[in-house]
Amino acid sequence: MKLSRELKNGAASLKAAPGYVLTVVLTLGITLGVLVSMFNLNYLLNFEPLPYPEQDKLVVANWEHRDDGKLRFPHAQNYPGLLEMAKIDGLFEKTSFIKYGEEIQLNDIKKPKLKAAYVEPSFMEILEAPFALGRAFQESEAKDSNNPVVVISYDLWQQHFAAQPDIIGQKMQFNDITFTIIGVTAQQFSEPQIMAAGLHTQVWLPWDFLPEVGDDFTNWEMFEVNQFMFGKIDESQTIKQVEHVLNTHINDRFKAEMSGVAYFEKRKINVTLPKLEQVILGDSTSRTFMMLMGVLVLMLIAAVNITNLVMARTANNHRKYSIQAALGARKKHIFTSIFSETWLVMTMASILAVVIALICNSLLVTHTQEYIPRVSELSINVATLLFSFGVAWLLSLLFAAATVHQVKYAKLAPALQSSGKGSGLQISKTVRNALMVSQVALSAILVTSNVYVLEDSLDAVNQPLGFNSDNMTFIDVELGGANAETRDEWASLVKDVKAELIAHPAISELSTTSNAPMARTTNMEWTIAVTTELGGGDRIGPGVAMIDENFLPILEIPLVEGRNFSANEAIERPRIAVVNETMARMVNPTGSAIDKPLYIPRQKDPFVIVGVVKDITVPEQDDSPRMYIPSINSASMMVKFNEGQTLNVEQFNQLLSQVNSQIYLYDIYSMNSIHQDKISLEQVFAWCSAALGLLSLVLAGIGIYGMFSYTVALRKFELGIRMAIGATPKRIAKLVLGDALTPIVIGLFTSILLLIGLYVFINNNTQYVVTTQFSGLILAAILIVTTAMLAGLMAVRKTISRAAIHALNG
Amino acid sequence: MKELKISLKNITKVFATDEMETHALQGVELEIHAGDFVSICGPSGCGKSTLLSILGLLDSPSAGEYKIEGQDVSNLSLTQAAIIRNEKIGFIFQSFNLIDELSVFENVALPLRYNEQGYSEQEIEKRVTESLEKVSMGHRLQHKPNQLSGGQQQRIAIARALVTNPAILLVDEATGNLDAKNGDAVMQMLKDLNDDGTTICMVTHDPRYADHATKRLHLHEGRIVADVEQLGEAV
Repeated sequence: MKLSRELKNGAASLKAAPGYVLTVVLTLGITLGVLVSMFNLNYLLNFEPLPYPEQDKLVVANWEHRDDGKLRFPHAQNYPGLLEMAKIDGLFEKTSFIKYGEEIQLNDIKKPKLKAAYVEPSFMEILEAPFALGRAFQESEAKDSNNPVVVISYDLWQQHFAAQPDIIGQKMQFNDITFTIIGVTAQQFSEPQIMAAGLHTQVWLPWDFLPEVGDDFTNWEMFEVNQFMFGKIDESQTIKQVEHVLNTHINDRFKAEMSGVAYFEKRKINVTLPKLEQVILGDSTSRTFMMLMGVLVLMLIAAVNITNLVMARTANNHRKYSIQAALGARKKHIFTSIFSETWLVMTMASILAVVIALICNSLLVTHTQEYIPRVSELSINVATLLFSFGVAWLLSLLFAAATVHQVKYAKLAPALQSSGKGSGLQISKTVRNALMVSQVALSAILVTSNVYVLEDSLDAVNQPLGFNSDNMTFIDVELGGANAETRDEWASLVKDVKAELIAHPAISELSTTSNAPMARTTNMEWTIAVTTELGGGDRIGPGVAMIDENFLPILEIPLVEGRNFSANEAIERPRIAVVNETMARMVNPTGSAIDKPLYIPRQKDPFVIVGVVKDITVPEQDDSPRMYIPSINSASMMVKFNEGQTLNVEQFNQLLSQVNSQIYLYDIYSMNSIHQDKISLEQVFAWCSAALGLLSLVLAGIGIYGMFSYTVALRKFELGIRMAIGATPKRIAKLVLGDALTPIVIGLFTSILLLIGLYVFINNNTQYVVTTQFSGLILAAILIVTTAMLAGLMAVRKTISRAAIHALNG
Repeated sequence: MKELKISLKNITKVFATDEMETHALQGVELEIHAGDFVSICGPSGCGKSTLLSILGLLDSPSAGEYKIEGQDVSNLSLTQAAIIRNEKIGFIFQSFNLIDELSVFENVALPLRYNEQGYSEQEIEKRVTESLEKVSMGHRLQHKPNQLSGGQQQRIAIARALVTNPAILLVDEATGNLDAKNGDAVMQMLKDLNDDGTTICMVTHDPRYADHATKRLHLHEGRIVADVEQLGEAV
């Protein structure tokens, strides 16, 4: 029979079974769609080269700091060191410094804060960045040329400048300097996200205009995590050779520069040159691979489910196949008949899968750019389509082959002669039980894992911060333009700003502080080097904040020992400090830290600890030592708003202009919004694990339902006999459910063994540590058994809710 | 006057689809008394099997009144029907309908295990053994049905139908799957049971076997067109 006719017959047959079609298409379509999306992502990260020429030769210098072998910072570089590295002849073909930051565009009335990167002309040259308009930096804009020009991104041009065609030549003002726009990068330009995934630079500025903070450019102690040296290795060198030269040079120079500084006595800097691809991808490929594996397990469950459903359908169609066999159909004809149906359903499913993959990709692009690099490059391509349809068609072939393999062809035709159970289509109990066991085991593993991740994520999301974040906003005021030259003028200006702000009815309290308890990124926090003894003792690198007497009470950070600063101390700035519990334990592990001294390198007079406060908990950050020093002169503040009230940037700027027209808001963020940002990944994990767990459960339900349906279809006549001789519907339900209990229990037991294996593997072979929690397993077992029982009841309901004659008639 | 076991009044059964209605039974009136041996004959599609299904509470009538030993069973729930079937009706099917996975003993014991009152294991063993002895199959307790001949399987089916001491035995073409010799043997067994007082209602195509009955019903297009008391046989 022609395949087209078979397909037509298959379509007609499927039309009569919309429930079956819907279940299979949804089950496979959703899981295959997610798999296609994960395949797409992994293919992009692992096989698609970076869109830069000679990407294999591109490296980023990284300094890892160790004190006495103990890791201090995984990456932090200083400018003088990087400069010396770039100057060594013969190592690199080209290099460029790059430093990331944020700049306020002062000639815009809204004073927007833009993501900025300071680079050398070689940066765009190495990347061969394409341009939509204008050009890249040239040699005339190289370091020390002091030529104020700016390159802007395509998105900034579109959104901020409304895609004005005459954008080239327009001006942008940053830090009182007016820059001329010379180029707009092309839409397809994908900048290397060296600093962090999802960081999209909006303006590139020449290195010369990098605002110098203190003696940044010459100070070997001033390490920063947002400045890099990026380069192309010279053809004559290997990475190892270059790393060796740089390691020797930097450590020698650092030792010479830091001679006599106790804090850095045991510091060793390990200079590495990871490839640009490694820097951009980080450990994301292992995470996305794990995601792919998780979805593959889901796909496996779906495949088992569909096998069950296809077998159940085949069993229900036994009469049709028996008639076909009686009329001379050979096994291949039966196969074609089954294959045509499965092919049609799988094709529908793969179409749905492509739609689901598009949705998943769009969700990934929208929500995960900060966590997964290169995700913005995701798109459905030919490889993806081939993968989707290839998997679906391969599955249809496998399902049909597996089903036909179970058909006892020799018994098909004789089955017509009796009103028996269609014995020609019986699948052995061993196979059925194996399917049920695998179904339950895989589902239990997935549900347990997801419950574990969900619990972990919810714990992180709900973990108390240890301070009051409600109505608290951090603001950073830029006073630079106000020409406060002396310390007194500065202090007076800060005082005026505070007075202006506190007078506003929306603001209830105010505290000056150099930084917020929870910064926008962990890297923004200031750290300082201190020792517990002059010229020696324990080395501690606490985060430090200069605060006034209101800071701790406003934020409700409780004192556990000693005292807070007084208002007078905040003005006078004596050398005293309040530390957190973690730091107190470092200073004196066995007793009180009160009255203990803390020495800053090159300063004789110590800070004396007068108080100890509770630790605060910042998501994604380990307990870190903190040190608070008295001061009222900071131009940044914690603002506490009255309940339900707030001020936006423009309102703040309006207030600030009342004090001085040259001062403006540099930064503003509420504590709750930062908290939300920091827990957003955990929330995504929580949602994903809940969704994946639920999906696993639904799939388990569908699969077990399929298996029960098949069993009930096979046993329908037998159940009819039992009903005829007096078995009540309840007894029949108990009988069917009871028979399935054994494979369910074996499946759960198998899942425990596999989970133990997984636990041992993860703890011994990965950086992750998994704790033993039985709650997930118990919950998974309860959910799966309940789902199985419900699925079983649904499957048997049709038989037991009708008169016995229907079961007897087959 | 013999006790009235079964009473059907104006029983109708309609099978409806989206496109048409089929009247399988139309106003059937029937009374079966204790000790009766009723045969139901008629051409294919006349409603014999439907009538037997309704008599056995395997299906419910669309309209009419059905009583077993005076109890109205016309509109029972599925559970109530199962309980009555278990306690008052014994089935013998054309294709034996034994459960392959169960031994002869367990097949026969099955109705007792479904009984709501719950029999003790000793009682079950006693009843099963007695029942199998009646059909001369007491020596095959642990055999599986597929190890037996068709005639032997039907005898097991009869033992299973008798094990609860039902009010009536419903027999659906009990000899249809048997050769003449085995068919005759089964028929003789039914006759003997009837002689011992068992009430039987049997559907058959075979006029020879229909003649064994004390009352012969002829169905045509869902109606009883002849109701013949075979007095000579009954005496």
